Amino acid sequence: MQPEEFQNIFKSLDREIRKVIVGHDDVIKKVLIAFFAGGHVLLEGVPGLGKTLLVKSLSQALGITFKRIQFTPDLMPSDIVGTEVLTERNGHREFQFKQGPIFAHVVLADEINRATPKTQSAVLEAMEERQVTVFGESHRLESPFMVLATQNPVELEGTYPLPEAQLDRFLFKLMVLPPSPGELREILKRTTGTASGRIGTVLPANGLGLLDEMHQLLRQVLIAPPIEEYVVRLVHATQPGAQNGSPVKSGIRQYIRFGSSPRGAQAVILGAKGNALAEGRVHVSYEDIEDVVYQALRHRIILNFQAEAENVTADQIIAEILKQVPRT
Amino acid sequence: MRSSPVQRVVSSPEALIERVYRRLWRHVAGDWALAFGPLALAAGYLVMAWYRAPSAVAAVGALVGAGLALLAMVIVASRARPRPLSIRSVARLIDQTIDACDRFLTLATIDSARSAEGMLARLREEAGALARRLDLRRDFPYRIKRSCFWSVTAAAIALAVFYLVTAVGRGDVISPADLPHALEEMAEKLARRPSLAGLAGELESLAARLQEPHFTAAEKQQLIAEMRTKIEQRQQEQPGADQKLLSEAASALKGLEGESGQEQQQKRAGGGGLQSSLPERGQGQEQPGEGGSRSETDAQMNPELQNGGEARSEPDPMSRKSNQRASGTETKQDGREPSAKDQGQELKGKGESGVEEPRGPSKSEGKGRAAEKPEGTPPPERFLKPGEEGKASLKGAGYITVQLPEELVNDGKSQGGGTREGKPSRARPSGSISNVPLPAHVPDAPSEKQNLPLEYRGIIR
Repeated sequence: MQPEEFQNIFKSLDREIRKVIVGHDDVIKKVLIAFFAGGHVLLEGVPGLGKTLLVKSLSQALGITFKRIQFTPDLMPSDIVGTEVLTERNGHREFQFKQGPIFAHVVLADEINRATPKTQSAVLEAMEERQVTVFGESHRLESPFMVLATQNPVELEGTYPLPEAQLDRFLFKLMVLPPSPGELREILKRTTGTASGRIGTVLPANGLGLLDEMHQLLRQVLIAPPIEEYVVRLVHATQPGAQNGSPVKSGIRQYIRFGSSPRGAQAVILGAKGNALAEGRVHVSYEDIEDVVYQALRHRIILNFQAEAENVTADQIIAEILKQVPRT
Repeated sequence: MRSSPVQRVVSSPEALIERVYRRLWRHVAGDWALAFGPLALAAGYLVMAWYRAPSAVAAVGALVGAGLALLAMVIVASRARPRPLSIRSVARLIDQTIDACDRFLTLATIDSARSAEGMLARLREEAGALARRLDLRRDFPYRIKRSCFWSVTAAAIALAVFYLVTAVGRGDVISPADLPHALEEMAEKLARRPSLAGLAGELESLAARLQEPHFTAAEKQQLIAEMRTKIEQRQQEQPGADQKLLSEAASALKGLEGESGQEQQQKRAGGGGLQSSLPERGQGQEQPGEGGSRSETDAQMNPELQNGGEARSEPDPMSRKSNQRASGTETKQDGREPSAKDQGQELKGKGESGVEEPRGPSKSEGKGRAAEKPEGTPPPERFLKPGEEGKASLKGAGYITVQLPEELVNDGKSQGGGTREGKPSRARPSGSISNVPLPAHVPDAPSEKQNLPLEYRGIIR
């Protein structure tokens, strides 16, 4: 596959999704990048902003299977991964594995923070290992596989915030913001009239193989060692205990409880590669890094109580780190 | 389509990076040369000047200048830190220059063995296309840095300080040799005004007099002071348009007077090269290491003595007088005429009638100076005791030295002794000064004592 091909497919997908989603340009782009990078996305936003619609549109445009799981406190792990059921075939009774909704190319874990940690952790293995184990038997998930989880920043009573280990499994955390007045007018026009946007499938019939190629192409994107070093410095700067060689002032670190894991650096580089390909380039630039660093690191930087008390957000911390860490 | 200069020369983006790298290195070398070259040259010149400094002041000036240059070098080195140059930084610079979005940086730094060939080829192709935008002369021109200007300025300041200190130390003031010239210039200025022509003439005559060799520094100073007084009087008498010119002349004369006095003081303070062990002002005791005595100063100022091949000092007239009193004999002074100062001092000792008042021998006067015999030379007849036989079988030969007034000596030499305008500079006696007849030589006659009239004692010794 050629980079131009990748770029064309990417643009087509973006165009199709925009037929039903108004605004959220960056969210759409980053969701697509995460998809081709083989990562998962955590979408955070108040209800009614089109999160679920976005995920549905993506799967429709890609022409791949899509499942939605509404996470509730009484949701069990087996409801997600599936379970063994006793079936009778040719006079014989046997246990047969019945796949759960996790067995899809794109899984929407709606309001993932409403499920218990036990259920949430059921998704962990699926996200990282791309397999599930039921009654001691592992079941491989189909490729491509992507979990898009949503969570509501309000109505936090009765919710179970995702643990850091689980948060770390998401490539990006995207903030879905309320639409601007112009976007809201457009939303009203599209949704309250008779006309409804229909999403066409971008990928051909043998699209899965093409998606595989696209995954491979993204990983082949060139990245210069100085840019890799820059990423390392950025991620290292998020560590509260990092002192040696870090140009970041200690004033920032006083708000950080835990810094980014190595997965954060991986996420930055993979996201940057996807960003470069989406723009028709075969190499990563500094701008690509800075374009994805917020989405890749914001959920990996765990702030302390002081930061919460002073309303300091992870994005502010990242912005300050970007200011203080030089490119060369 | 016309290819750009870079395209013609550079075959690949990597080669372009290498070429720009070499070019920027030359720029850095040029910057360093321009930043430190002038200062280093100035410092080197000043060190050489210090090494060959003719005087202490010049050496100090050279050292101060060299120190300033070195200090400026340190400042330039600390302030003008050049950007560290590497292939990576050059590639990044190219990226920024032609907006290549880190393509050249990636090409310059990536490990091609571990990269996808297709991607690398595509990147090289993209970079090559972008390289056509690059014009090395336009995009990487050599600009002289501000530090170079600072360096040149600092070097100029260091050299200026050196020359200033040297000039001040040398006393870029009028040297004694230039005094007459300065006076002539001043006279020319005054002569432009008809009302001041007289003063101009006097200034010229003063200049001519100062060139005469027999004037001592003190006398010159006195003459200048007299002239200055005249000008100041004229200034008071004649206020008006000439006031400015007169005040200029007066102040210039004041300056000249001061310089002449300073020079005299310097020589007294031991500035001269000659050391004399002779007693000063007839005190009859030696003062070694005191530097030049007054008589030595006179000897230095007198060109005749300087050119005479024997720059020796002689005792003061006062000591001579006292020696005469002590020994009752006169000393021959090897043809050296007494200076006007000596004469003046002698005259001071006289009363208004010109008769020298008798003085008792003081403690300091004439402690056997005249009675001492010069060592290593045959004893002249003047040292013969009565009864001893000298040359030509002269027994107890004694003689007197007639020292004529200076004016007469000069007149005899210069046939008239007038100034440039032909005017007599001093009143001169019309008749002969001495009319004392020497007695006829009688071989066996006892030594004769001649009583001299009192009025001649001052001029006949």
